[in-house]
Amino acid sequence: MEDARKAGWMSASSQVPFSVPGMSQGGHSPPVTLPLQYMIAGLSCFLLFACDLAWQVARGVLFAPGSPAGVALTHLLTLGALMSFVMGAVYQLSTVAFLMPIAAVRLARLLFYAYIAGLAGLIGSFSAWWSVGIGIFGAWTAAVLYGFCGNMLVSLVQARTRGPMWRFVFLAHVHLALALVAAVVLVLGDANLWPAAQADQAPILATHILLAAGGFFGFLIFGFSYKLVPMFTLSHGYDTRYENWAFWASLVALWLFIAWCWIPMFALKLLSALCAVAAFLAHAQAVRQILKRRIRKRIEVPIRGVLVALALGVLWAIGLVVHASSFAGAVVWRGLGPFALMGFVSLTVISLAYKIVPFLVWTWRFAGAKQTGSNVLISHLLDASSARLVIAFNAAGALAVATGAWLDSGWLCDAGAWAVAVSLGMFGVHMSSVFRRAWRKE
Amino acid sequence: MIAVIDFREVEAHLREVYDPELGLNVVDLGLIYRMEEPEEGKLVIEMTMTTPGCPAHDSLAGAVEWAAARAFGVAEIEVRVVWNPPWTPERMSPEARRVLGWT
Repeated sequence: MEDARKAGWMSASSQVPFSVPGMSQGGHSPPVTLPLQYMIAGLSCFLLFACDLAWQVARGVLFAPGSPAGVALTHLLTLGALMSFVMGAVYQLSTVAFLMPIAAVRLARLLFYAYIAGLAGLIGSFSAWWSVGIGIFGAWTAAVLYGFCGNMLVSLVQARTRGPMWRFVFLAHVHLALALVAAVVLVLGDANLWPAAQADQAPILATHILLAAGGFFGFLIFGFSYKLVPMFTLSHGYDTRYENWAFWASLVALWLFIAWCWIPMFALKLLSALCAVAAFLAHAQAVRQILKRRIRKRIEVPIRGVLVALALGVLWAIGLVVHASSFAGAVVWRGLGPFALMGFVSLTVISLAYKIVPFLVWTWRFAGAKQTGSNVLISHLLDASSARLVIAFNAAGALAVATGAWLDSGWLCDAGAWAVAVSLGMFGVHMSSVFRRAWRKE
Repeated sequence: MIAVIDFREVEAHLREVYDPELGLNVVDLGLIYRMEEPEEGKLVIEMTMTTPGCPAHDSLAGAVEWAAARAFGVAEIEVRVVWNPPWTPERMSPEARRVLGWT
């Protein structure tokens, strides 16, 4: 008995011939309240967006081209909901995915308050179409986002692992910085401070949208999928070659498309659309490889949501080919922007929120609760399967909006917008329940 | 040196530490590689995570330390998180495999 005790204990289910202490591979994460505050802001903006969307549909002013309310609504989704949530996720996930610390955590905290103030001013200025306000708050928000980009780029260059995932995330931030340059040029043109930029704003606006939606959100989603999907499905030893293919195809697609905005050659447009299809298919193949080697056999609803979003992304890319090859493409084009944002981008973010938010809240409120003997699990905070209806409504809504725009059917657009608003309302209720349970800490 | 720590008791306490995401305890998941008592009352635990950079790294290692400290005779604990050999699903107990649907 004495000898057995001295020999120690070894896991019965495994043979461990030797083990090597590694460098600490945790402990890089910033305090959990940092990503959480960004995410709470993002979730609040999702709810505001849902209310504003429903309000605009009810008033019959939705999708009026270039309307101040429409511009404000779009930025409430992109800068408010998506960007706030994504910034929080980036601060948390980068440290986990690349095993590196955030260069300036205090700066990230300060930028949060500056961002919220700038965002509120900018959305208000867009609604009232107050040019001076758009200029001031636009510059303010851009400066904050440059701070975010700088902080992340400095952090990312410290990463030791630099695979396709790193390249996606690194370039996403470079694209965001470039998207902001385009936004600044647009604002200067609008304020008559740069006559050259005022003359023809269409290619600048298109470049801004492509860099922000595709270059930033799209690249981030592709990149972080290669960490999050394996992590949540417990996948190991999968084939990663398609990740490289997805990277190069999406990079070529994005820049060919931007080139087409400035040099409207048919070949550029068609080639960029084909590359976009190739990028989404390669990404789908990369995700398939991950899922083939998963240990958790049951695919959870949020991960299914990511797959649905990916399917919408493939549909979007096919729509792009239809647009590129048809000479009545303007109609198709009108539906593609909202479809990409409300479909692929929003649905991926919403689905992953069902996994990320409860985890962060658990870490914040319950990670130390072992000492009290309670064993609260993440599943106690939120039943992930509750995402099913949200995902269904969101996907159906995004599809209906895009099809409605394509067929020039007002009622279909309105029905789609209602479905998206309802799905975001349910999403808000689910997310708030996580925080309510955390406050009621048992 | 007199060995005072009963590893079976420590293991029983570690079975109360759950991976918050999977809802399985760290012993059944095969995350605990080995335990030793190099000095009287000193417990060294080598454990791993399901994936490098696991977000639950700190909280899980802390929970293991706390749970093991409840065992009789444990005066000092060192929890080492190791990455080599990496965790593989073969390390899971049959019960954990069943719960995850992995056979």
